[in-house]
Amino acid sequence: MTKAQGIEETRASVKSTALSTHRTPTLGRLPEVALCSSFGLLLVALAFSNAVVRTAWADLFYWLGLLLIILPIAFRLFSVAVSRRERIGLVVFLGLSLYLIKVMHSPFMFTFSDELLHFRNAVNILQAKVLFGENSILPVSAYYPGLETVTTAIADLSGLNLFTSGLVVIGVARLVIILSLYLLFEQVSHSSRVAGLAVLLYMANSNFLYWSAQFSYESLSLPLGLLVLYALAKQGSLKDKQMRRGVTLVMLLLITAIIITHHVTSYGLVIFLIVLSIVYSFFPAFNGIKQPNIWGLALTTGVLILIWLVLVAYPTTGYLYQIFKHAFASVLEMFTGGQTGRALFTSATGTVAPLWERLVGISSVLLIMLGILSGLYALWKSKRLNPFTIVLAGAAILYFLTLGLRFTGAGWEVANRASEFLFVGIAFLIAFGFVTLRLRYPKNRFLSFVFAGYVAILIVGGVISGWPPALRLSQPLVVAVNGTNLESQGLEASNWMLTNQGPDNRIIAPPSDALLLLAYGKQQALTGKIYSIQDLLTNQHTLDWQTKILQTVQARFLVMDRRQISWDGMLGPYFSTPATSPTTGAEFFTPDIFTMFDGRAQIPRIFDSGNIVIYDVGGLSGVTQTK
Amino acid sequence: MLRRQSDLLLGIILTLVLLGLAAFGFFPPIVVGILALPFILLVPGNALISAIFPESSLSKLERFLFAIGLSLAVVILSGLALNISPWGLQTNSWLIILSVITLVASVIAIWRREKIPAKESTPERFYLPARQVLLLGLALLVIGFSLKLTLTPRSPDNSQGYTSLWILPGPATQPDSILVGIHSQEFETTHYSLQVIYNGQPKQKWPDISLEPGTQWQQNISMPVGQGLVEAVLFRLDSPGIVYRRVSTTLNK
Repeated sequence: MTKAQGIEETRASVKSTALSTHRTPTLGRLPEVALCSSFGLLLVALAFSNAVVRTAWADLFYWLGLLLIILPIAFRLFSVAVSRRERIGLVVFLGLSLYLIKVMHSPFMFTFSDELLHFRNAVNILQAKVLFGENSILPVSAYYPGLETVTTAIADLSGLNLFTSGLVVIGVARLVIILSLYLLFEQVSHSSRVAGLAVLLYMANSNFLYWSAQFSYESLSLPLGLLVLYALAKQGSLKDKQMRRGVTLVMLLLITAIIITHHVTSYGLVIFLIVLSIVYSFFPAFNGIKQPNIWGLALTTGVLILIWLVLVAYPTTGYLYQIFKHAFASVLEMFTGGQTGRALFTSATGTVAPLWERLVGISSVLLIMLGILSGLYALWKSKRLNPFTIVLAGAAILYFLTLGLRFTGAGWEVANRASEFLFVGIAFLIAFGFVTLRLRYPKNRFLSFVFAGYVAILIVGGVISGWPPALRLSQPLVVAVNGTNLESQGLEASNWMLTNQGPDNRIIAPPSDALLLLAYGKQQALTGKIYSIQDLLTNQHTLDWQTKILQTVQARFLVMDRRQISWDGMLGPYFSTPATSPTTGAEFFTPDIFTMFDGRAQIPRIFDSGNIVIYDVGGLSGVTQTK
Repeated sequence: MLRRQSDLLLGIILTLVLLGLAAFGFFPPIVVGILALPFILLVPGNALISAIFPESSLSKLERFLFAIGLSLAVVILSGLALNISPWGLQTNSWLIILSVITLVASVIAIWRREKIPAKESTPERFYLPARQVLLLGLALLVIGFSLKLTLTPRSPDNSQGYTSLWILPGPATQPDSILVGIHSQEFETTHYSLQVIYNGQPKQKWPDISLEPGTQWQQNISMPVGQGLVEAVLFRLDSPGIVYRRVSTTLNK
């Protein structure tokens, strides 16, 4: 294995000195594979489109399409005789194809809950021409305006609308993450084969398909973070001092941009730098090779983060503290018996995933664990340990710890979000293990099928465990009737509010309506458990108690939504399916809850679209002016 | 010299063209749309990376990647700088700050490159056989068709239409009136009847309002002076006994 990899490295590092012009077809089988994979995209598009959506065929088309996109590329990447250029082309094509699935999922406007939060921030910047506008649902997001700054710059200068500009920015970020990962893995492993497979395997993380492709700050910061890691790895291999200084300057610019863009990515980066600094410090004791000193960079990053935190983003600590506190408290409660664990493969509404999905989901976790252990063994045996591979292996091992968090309600989110960071190490280790196997048995065709099957289970398992089943397929926010576009009730209510009451009114609503009101209605919407809003909207109380809450919130308007699903910010915004009776169906609130604000002269019912009703509660809260 | 500096010179020309268009206040949307994307996402980063690494010590792929990454970083940091400037984040301020960064970095890069003797390099010609071009073209066609499919709004199968009814105080010019509106988002032409009730007494009735999908009906209704509760009740003519929508407001004049 070592010999074969050595040959590959030698080939890769040979620099031609010939002055003649090369004339080589450099794309290999990429065009054939791309054509094959493009039919996978077509199948997914069909699953999202009129003919198939909401039929029994939709799921089948979706999964077949996904596999048709991925498997030809997996087969080709696993092959021994593929050029570096072709490998890069293959992973870029795959990364962008998977991004197109997200674009096709919501082709008219942003619909995911985080996207709506950031869309509002971008609207604020475009209108006010300054950063740090108010975001009533997630105030912290406004203190990290990197994504919105780039998006509004494009919208301002190109004339494109915010939605298209946002899609362009995330598309570019997707390109950056693919290329950064490829170059990072190649730099660390000295193998284009390991790099290609590792990038492919990274795409199996449960957040890659949808979460990391949404218009959200992490979708931009993580690619920039990985570019910093690549620059760091590159710097370690440079002999020239001036070059090393140049790379440091590049890293500092990127790190500053990351700090302005996303809190968790910047914290993750500084932790990585500190751990790598420690490993760099101790590594010479084992092998005698002097390692770079990056304590200065780690310290500078830490100081810059602190400066941003103190001067601009001070509410961040409280926000993140709450998330981690709940996660760890629920784990603790689970172990002490105070809380039953979260039921795996069961949605918030209690729907249990089909048996095959549960099997694939569990198999994918087991295969990841097996892959990590095999990769660790291969890495150890190959004697190719270096500080970078040690830290990446450490990140992969952390995956085992996060599995425990998945059994709790609050911890699941932390574990799920961590996967896109930890998968950098996981993908590297698994790829290293598979390349070791491939090079040991280079002519064994069966191995290619094993690898393709492995990747298929990981990617399908990732989608199953990382995204709500009801949202895998595109949902209708806009439908067309005889050439006229009709919008869902939440959008209609948002547009009505903006047109008739103006922007920036304080309005309390269930999450899905609040998010639409915030983003498209330009209101200062409030939702969730804060100020007992959930209690106010879903339980009957005395008028005094209701008045007290409304006065505390200073709400001018209140939204009641008959649908239980309106309390799910991701699933609520879309057109409803033909209903069972609103008075008896389990998916609706009972009429006594839905109509509890009716019949009071001081609470005019000013808008009614069937499921959504808007009340003017200014008479109770004392807020009588619309903005 | 021109060939060696071609990337930077292209960036400078692009910047000057955009500045020129801005100076004449001439922004043809398509031209600006096409020019603005590389101007924001590639050119500043390429100028910077060339100023930092004037030699060909980075591969083309690395240079391209760092150019994009640095462009994103430059835009983010420039946004912060504009935020504390008196001009804010406007079209012209964006144009000026990104142009200044690009032009200054480009000049430094050109100057630094010129100081380094040109190396003999192996010209590499990218060769794509006709068969591969055809296959890639077909792949792009299939992808384009897939996008087109999803860009067609859904038919309303398996979705449920609805109607919204609303009530507002009348315009300032008619303070003794209220405004009632109906917006049909039903999937077929729907017939309604509307009744306006004042303090429990029928005030006005519209026995048949017919609305096509997506159309709206609204009416200013004069109301008596004084305090009172106004209700508007909407029925569908195919279910006349069931209140379909209901809104209300109070008058306090």
